[in-house]
Amino acid sequence: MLSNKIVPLIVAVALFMENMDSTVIATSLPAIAADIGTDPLALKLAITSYLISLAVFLPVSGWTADRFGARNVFRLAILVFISGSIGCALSQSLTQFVIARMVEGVGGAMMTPVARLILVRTVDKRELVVAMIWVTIPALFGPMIGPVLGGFLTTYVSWHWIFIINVPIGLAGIILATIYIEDVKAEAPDPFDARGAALAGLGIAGLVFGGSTLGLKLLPTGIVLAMIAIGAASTVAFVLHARRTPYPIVDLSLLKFPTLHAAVVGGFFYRAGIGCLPFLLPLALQLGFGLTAFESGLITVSNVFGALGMKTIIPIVLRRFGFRSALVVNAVISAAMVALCATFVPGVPFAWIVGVLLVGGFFRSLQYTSLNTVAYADIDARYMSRATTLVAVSQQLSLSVSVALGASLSK
Amino acid sequence: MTLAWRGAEKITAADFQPAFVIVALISAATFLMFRRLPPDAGAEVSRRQSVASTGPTAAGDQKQG
Repeated sequence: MLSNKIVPLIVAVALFMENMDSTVIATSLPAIAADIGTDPLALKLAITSYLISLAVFLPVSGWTADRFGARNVFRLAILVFISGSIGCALSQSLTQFVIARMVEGVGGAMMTPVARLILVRTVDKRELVVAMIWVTIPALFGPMIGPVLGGFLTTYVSWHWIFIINVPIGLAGIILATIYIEDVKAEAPDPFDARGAALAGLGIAGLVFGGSTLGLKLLPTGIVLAMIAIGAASTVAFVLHARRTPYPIVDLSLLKFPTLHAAVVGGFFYRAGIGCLPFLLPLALQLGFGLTAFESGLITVSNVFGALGMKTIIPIVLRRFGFRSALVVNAVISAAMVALCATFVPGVPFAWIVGVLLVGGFFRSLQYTSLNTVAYADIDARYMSRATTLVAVSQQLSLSVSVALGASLSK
Repeated sequence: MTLAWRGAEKITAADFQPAFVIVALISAATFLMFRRLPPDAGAEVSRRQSVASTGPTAAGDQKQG
């Protein structure tokens, strides 16, 4: 079936666009700040406002997809995202950047979970591992390719193009989605959990924005800690609320499935640790070896080839060993490959660095693919939208922990 | 932090060594959580054939210690 091949590709393109975005901007910050006449640190905070709207809309993504149809929401999300991108390219002031980035965040919040939802509903369970590889690779390596592309565009064209590039990619995604993705709606959508959406939105926004700015050291620590405290309190209030309501906006009761539990909870800690790599590795290469952002980006890209080259092997490994053995053993192997990055000191052969990253890229993509796939193994189609929401929230939270952890470890 | 400030004027690659090891340890520790999965978890998705259905002749599917 053609849709088995093309749907993962559509999903991958959307995810790549979103995951690349944050790091593509990071390299271009000084150029943008100089152009609009502002302080790079203030601009960085403006750029980070993306996370607020992203976190607020993430919990409602599953419900929205059920209510209005996953294909419609996916296309609208891309449209919103590229509108925000155009807004960024046209921005002349900090305020305009904040607004444009918040618009992008709304699109981004809906794009990822809904894309996964479409994938798990379209692709046959037996083909899910192969399909998920296409979803895992962009999420894993968008942050590594971002600096190279951002550096290239800013140096040789202009910073506006890091945003404008989303327009043709997004439009292609919308057209392909219209042709190849079936419009599936839930037969009887659940009632909207307004109180839960408010509590979860505030909770996740506080934790995600607080965690990320704690790492960036952009705001006074007191304010950041207050945001994290409010986020934590609101999250606790949501958990208590979710126990009492029949249709919570984020359904924690699904964690009773060991497979989803492993993906959400085990995945959270795994990602929180290894997710620091995109922050630590460029810093170590740039500060330790005196490489430019572009050069270090070219080296870290070897990770991507490790994963791409091995994508045919992942289904074989899982078929041979099963999820449990693969996840248990590979958690240790893939982590050991990260620990080997500690050997990257001036004087080591260049081939060693590339080799460690290449092999590490493979084992990491095996772990991420396994986590991304096993999550949905036991979930009934009816509850799939709840599972994708839960996974998306867990991933966003772990990413913020990574940012905070990466920053505190590298100072 | 102040110690690091006084001790090293310039950040070197060696300063990142503990960071890589710490994040690796955090991720490696999750193997304890994955061990709680049932052995046949997600068998339908991984397309792993159970040992019972393949029989003893399918040596390729036998578990290794």
